[in-house]
Amino acid sequence: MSGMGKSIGLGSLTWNNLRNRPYRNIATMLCFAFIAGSLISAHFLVGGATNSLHSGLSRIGADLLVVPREYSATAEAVILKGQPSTFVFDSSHLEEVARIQGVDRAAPQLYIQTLSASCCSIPVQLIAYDPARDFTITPWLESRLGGPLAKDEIIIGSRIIGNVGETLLFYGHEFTIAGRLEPTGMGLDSSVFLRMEDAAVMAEESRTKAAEAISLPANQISSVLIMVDPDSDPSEVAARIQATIPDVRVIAPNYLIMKVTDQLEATTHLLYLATISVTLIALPLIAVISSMVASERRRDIGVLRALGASRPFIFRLIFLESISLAVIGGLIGIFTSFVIIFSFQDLIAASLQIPFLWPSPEELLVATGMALLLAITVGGVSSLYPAYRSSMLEPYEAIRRGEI
Amino acid sequence: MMVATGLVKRFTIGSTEVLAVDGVDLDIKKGDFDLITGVEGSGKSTLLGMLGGLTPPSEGNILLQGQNIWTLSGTRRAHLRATEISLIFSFSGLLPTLTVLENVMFPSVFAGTMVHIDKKAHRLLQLVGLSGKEDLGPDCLSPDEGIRASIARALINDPSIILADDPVRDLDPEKVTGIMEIFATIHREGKTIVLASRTTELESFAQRVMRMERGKLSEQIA
Repeated sequence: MSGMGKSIGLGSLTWNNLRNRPYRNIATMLCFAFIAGSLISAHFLVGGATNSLHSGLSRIGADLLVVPREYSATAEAVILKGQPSTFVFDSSHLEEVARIQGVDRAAPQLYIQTLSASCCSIPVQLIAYDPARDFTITPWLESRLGGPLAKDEIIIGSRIIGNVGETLLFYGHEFTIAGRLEPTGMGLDSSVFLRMEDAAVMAEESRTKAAEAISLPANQISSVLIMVDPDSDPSEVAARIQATIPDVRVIAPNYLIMKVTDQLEATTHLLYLATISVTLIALPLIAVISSMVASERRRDIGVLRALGASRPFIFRLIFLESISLAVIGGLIGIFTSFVIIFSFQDLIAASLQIPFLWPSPEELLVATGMALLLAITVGGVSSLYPAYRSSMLEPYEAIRRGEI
Repeated sequence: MMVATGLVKRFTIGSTEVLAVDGVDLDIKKGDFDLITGVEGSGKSTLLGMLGGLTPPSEGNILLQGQNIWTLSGTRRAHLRATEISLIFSFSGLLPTLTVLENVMFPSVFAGTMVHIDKKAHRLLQLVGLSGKEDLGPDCLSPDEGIRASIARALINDPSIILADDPVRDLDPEKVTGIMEIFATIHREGKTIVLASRTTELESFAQRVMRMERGKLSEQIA
C-alpha cells in the first residue's frame, strides 16, 4: 500500500489514530498492562516454585526422607530454603528403616551448619553422605565426573562461590571443589556435599585448626534418604515407617510440593483475583472508552464511508485500534513483570517463603502467549460493540450528527 | 449520466414526519456543472446525500450510467463512492491524524489504485494551490485551504461525478471566488459537477441553475 515512499492504508491510519490520543491510549494500555502483568506474575510465581521443586526434588533423588520428628520443620527449611542447620538422631534408625517392607535402599546424610567459610559471607549447609550406601549423589558423580569423590573433595551447590579445582576451607579443613550442581532454586543451591569420613576428619581437626570446634557425636545422622521398592506405594511405606519408628518424621516430595503450593496459594489467588477483577472492570471500561472515541469520531467515520470505506473497513479500524492497544499494553505489562520478578526473585522467594527457579524459555513463551492472549481477548471483546455500531452508522447521519 | 426519478426522502423526528425531498426528478449529463440553490433546510444536502449513495431515498430511483445505485450491495455502493462519485462537504472532512498529502491519497485505498498515487496527489495539490503544504496537518490549514485539500482528495480516484454540498458556506467572500475558480477549472477539464449552495451569487459559474424549495426542485435558466 504505497505510492512513492508514502504508506497509506488501514495500518497507517490505525497507527496515526493511536498516536493522536496519547493520554487516553496510555490509560487504556495501562489497563491491558495490568491484566497481562498480573497474570504472568502469578504464572511466574507458581511456575518458578514448581519448577524449582521438581528440579530440586529430582536432584535429591529420594522417594522419601526420614528426619528427627522434632526437627522436621528445620529439615524442610534446609531442603527448601537452604537455611543451614545441624540436627541429628541415632544412626540405629538407618537400619530400622532399611528393614521396613517396601524400602529398597536407605542412605544416611549428616547436616552440618558452618559458622563461616572461605566461600561465603553467610553460613552454608554441609551435607555429608556415605558413598557406600548413597544412591543420590553417587549416580550424579559417575555421570558427570566419571567416578566417586576422592578424599577431601566436595560438590558445591550453584550459589556457592568457587570454581572446580579451587579449594574451600570449612572448620579449618581444606577441601577441593570437584564439581558444581545445576541450579534448583532450593536449599541444595547453597549446600556443599562431602563424604562422611572427610566430615569426621574435619570435625576432629577443628579442635586445633578452627576458631570454633565442631563436635560430631559418633553414630549420629541427620536424615535417611529412601528409595522405595518399585512394587511398593511410597505413601504406604511412609505410613509403615511412621508407625514403626514414632520419633521420626517421613517427608515425601509430594508433601513438599503441596506445602509450597499452599504457601503460594494466598499470593497466587490474590494475583489471579486481581487479574479477574481488572479484566471484569476493564471490559466495560474499555468498551465505554472505545464507544466514546467512536462517538467523537462519528463525522470522520461518516467521511471515510463517503470516501468509499465499506462497513467491514470501519469495523476493522476500530477493532484494530483496540487490539493494537491491547498488544502494546500487554507487552509492556509482561516486560515489566519480567524485569520486576527477575530483579527481585530472591527477595520475592524469601518473602513468600518459597523456592524459586526461573522458568524455562518454553514455559516463559507459553506464559507470555497466554498473558498476551488474555489482553487481546479483552481488547477484542470490549471493542466488538463499538466497532459494530460504528460500522453500522449511516454515513449521511454520521456526517450530519458529527457536525452538530 | 445520472438520472434521478421521483426522489422522496422522509425523516421522522420524534413523532413528526418531515418531508425533506419531495418528488425530485433530475437528469445530470456528462460534463454538466449544475448549481442547486436554496435556503438551509430546503433539502439540498439530503438530495446530494441520496445522489451520493450516503442515505437511501424513501421513494424513487437513482441511476448512474444506467445502474440503480440503491439496489447495489453496501460494499458495492461503497466501491462506487470510491471510484465514481466524489463528495465534498461544507467542512474539509480531512482526517485529523493524517497529513494533507496522506488525506488526498487516502481514497485510493478504497479504489485500489495506490500505485504512484502520491505523484498524482502532489499534482492535485498543485492544482488547488496547496503546493508546499503536503506535510502539514489539517489543523494547520485555513478553512479555504481545507476545502481546497478536500477538492484535491475528491479528484484522486478520477470520479465520474463530483457532488459538492455547500463547500463555500463558511468561507469569507474573497475566498469563495478562489474555490469556485478551482471548480470551474475542473469542469473545463471535463468533470461533471453538482454543487449545492445557499448563495445565488455562484450562478455565473454554473451551466444550469436549479432552485430547491421545501424539498421540491425547480430549474431556472442560467
